[in-house]
Amino acid sequence: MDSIIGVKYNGGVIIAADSNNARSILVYQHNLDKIAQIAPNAILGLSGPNADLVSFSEYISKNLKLYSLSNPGQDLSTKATASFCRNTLAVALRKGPYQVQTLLGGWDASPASEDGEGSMYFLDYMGSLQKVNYGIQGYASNFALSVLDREWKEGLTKEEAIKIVDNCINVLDTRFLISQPTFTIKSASK
Amino acid sequence: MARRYDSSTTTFSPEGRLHQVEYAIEAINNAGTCVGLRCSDGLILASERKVTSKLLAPVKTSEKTYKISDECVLSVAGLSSDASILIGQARLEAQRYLYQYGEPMPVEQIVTQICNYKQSYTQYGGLRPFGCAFLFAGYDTFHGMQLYQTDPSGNFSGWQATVIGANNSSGKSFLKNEYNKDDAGIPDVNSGLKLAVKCLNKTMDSSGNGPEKYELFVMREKEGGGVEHKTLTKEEVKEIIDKVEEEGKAAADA
Repeated sequence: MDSIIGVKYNGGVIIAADSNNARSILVYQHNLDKIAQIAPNAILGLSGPNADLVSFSEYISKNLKLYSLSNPGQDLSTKATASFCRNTLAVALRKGPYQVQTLLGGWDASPASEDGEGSMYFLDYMGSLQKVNYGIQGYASNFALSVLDREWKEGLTKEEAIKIVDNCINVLDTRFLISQPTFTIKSASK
Repeated sequence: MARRYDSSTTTFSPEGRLHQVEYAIEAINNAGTCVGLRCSDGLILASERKVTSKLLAPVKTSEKTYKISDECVLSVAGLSSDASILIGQARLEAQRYLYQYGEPMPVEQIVTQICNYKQSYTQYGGLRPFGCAFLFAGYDTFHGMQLYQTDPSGNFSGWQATVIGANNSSGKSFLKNEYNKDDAGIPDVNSGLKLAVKCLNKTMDSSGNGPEKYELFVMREKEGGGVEHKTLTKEEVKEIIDKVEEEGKAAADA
């Protein structure tokens, strides 16, 4: 039921997530933050049962914190962070899976550009990992992926990216059965 | 008398020393020398191959230098059988990291893991320490080319240039004078190789050594990322030994 939308722009990424917390026909709250900041330069948008959202994001962020304390000055790149998340999901799959569909977005310094570059990874609960320019988790993908397919291009500014996310949310408002009155939006950049 | 506190690794002596660890360090001072040099364009590991008998089969790959991962190599001084276990452990840890993070394990982390492993044999289990020291040469994107030295106590330190094994003190004092002489700058690999051979000549017992007594290894950064490993062939080693001899003669005549 959750909608997670992620868009990469020139110099960073933004992730938007609906803020509903619901089970069956009951909505518990309209202000749940489903985008965890797992590292100083990385955000993880998660969709799934509340318990798994929390247990997975906290496990990842605390392990990343331990790594940064044990290895001062060596920040894990977004790619390494994504590999770590994937590995965690893949190992848990055959034991007790984390039922989370996620979008990982991060910022890394880059020799090619002063503003650095953003990268986005699509990670599903079975541990498939794919680097993408944009992505959507949840039913929302059926509606809004076509918007992104049409409107995303290389070299977007942050404002343009936000506008595109806005367009996605409008499509959901119009055509998606579930009412999602509020969205949270976060970005990872310099 | 220290004797009563010698036998167990896991006991301090009244003076606060771990004798077994110290004896392990002694064992390495009888082993073939290893020299490590950080150069402006790479890293050199130069080792002495102690040939104990003419009947020994010629070395197929390396006797002293071992690859841990695509970005990390080490040379051994001490008990080869002990080293073999630790090398296997280092390779396993490096691959585990690569499996989990999708990126090569940073060199200092490999060194720390192995040293923690060595340290555990000085604190519990009632087992003796590993009788070998390593020179780790590796590359990572955080600190570039790095050289580390480890010993049986599980201590390690980073170096620009260092020597382990037999006569390491004379080797080190030679390097103190010759490496980065008068702040002229650290040598490039070509000069570094000659310096390493000169250093080994100083630490080796005999003189007039043939190329089979030296094992020379170079690690260089590759275009487009990663590193290349090169163990010099017998001919290339001979070239360097000859050059060093020439230069030595020229300096003596001058």
